[in-house]
Amino acid sequence: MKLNLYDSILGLFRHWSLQTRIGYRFKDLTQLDEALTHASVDRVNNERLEFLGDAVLELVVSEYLYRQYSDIDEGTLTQLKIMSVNNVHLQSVALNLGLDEQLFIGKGLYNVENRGVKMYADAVEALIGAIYIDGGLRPASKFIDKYVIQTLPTLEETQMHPKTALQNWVSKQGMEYPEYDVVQDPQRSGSANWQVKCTIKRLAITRTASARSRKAAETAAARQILDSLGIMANGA
Amino acid sequence: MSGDDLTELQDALGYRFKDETILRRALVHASSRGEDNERLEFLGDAALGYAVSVALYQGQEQLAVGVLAESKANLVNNHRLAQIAIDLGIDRRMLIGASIEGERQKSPKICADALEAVIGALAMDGGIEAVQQFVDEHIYPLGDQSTVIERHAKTQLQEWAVSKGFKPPHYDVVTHESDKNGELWHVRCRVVGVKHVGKGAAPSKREAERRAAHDLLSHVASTT
Repeated sequence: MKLNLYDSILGLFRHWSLQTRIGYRFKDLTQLDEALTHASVDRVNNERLEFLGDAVLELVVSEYLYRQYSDIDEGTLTQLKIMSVNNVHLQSVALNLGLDEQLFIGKGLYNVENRGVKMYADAVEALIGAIYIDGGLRPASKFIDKYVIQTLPTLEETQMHPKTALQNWVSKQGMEYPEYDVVQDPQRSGSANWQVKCTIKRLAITRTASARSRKAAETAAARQILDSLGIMANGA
Repeated sequence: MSGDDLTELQDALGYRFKDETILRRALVHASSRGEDNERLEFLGDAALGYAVSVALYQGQEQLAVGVLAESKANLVNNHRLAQIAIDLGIDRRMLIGASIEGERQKSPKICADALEAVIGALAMDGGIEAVQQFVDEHIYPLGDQSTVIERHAKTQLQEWAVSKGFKPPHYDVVTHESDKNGELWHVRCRVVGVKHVGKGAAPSKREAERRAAHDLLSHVASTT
């Protein structure tokens, strides 16, 4: 591949700023590039690293949960694990790290609409695989702890009110608070129910719910978003 | 269970526990009273998946992702794990509640879960290195890595050809001999656009095709 000076400087800066955000310096930058090459690119892409990273992620998360919650049963441990490896959660980790601007993608995916949640989740897993190959289990665990585990609700937080749980979760991801908009107001429309839309802009997620009161509709909409994030919530 | 019994099991596992109570717990099925092995199984499942994935990823051959996933599924399927549990004598030493006593022979799931719990116990007692060593000794080689790879040589070649923009490979029988000693098939495998022709000979057509695919694959792997 021919590179001109401008491209090389740009490349250096890209690697430097991303590694700063990740909190890990690669000895071999080709691993990092491989992790950021989506499967839509038909040469070497991140699928193999994703396979590896997925297993490393499961191990680190499972061990953390096992040690952290010594008195909860296997069923709850499994639920907590599913929550942490949920694709939308991993997508938000990717966005938090700015991976969306760093991915090499194939031509078919230039249109933003075609980019799915899974693409970003896969990139996070591949990144974990790359850190593992480059530096071993210790730096991979450190990354997982900081970005995947610490950004999850704690078991206590999952017992909170859905709106509180959702607000806590988005702020841990460094995102703006959810927005609640009234779609239907009974006093104006003459219908019996309130209808409220809850939106998380950064994830482009919207859920709408109706109920007899505005507050209940907001709660129901927040709960629906938590559901799609795979996050357990009070009564859910 | 007697201490001797536990020592025998550790000999079979090839690992000496610093804390034997954790190994004991791994052998307590959920149908029994007291603290059972389910939490350890939760941990062991992830530790096993990790060790197998790393072994496959770092294997000599750079396997395509589909082959990695399929090989992993084959290596850790419940029936295979149950058989390993039985070979190691884990099933005989399990504590099972009265309600399902007698059924243990019939349930591969119970045996497989107990093996995973034992792997979880290894992780807690000896760290992930102890698990990797155990997997290298008992899980990975028994799967006969070469047969796993061989079995998938055709799939792998197909994936490779498609990824390079070639048409799928085709196979021709060159000769087929049959006498009182058995059969011998000679098969050729070609991918249009690739100079090298894969050759394979075996007592069955399928096996000969696999070998031909493997031959072609190893040729393209060494030249690209």
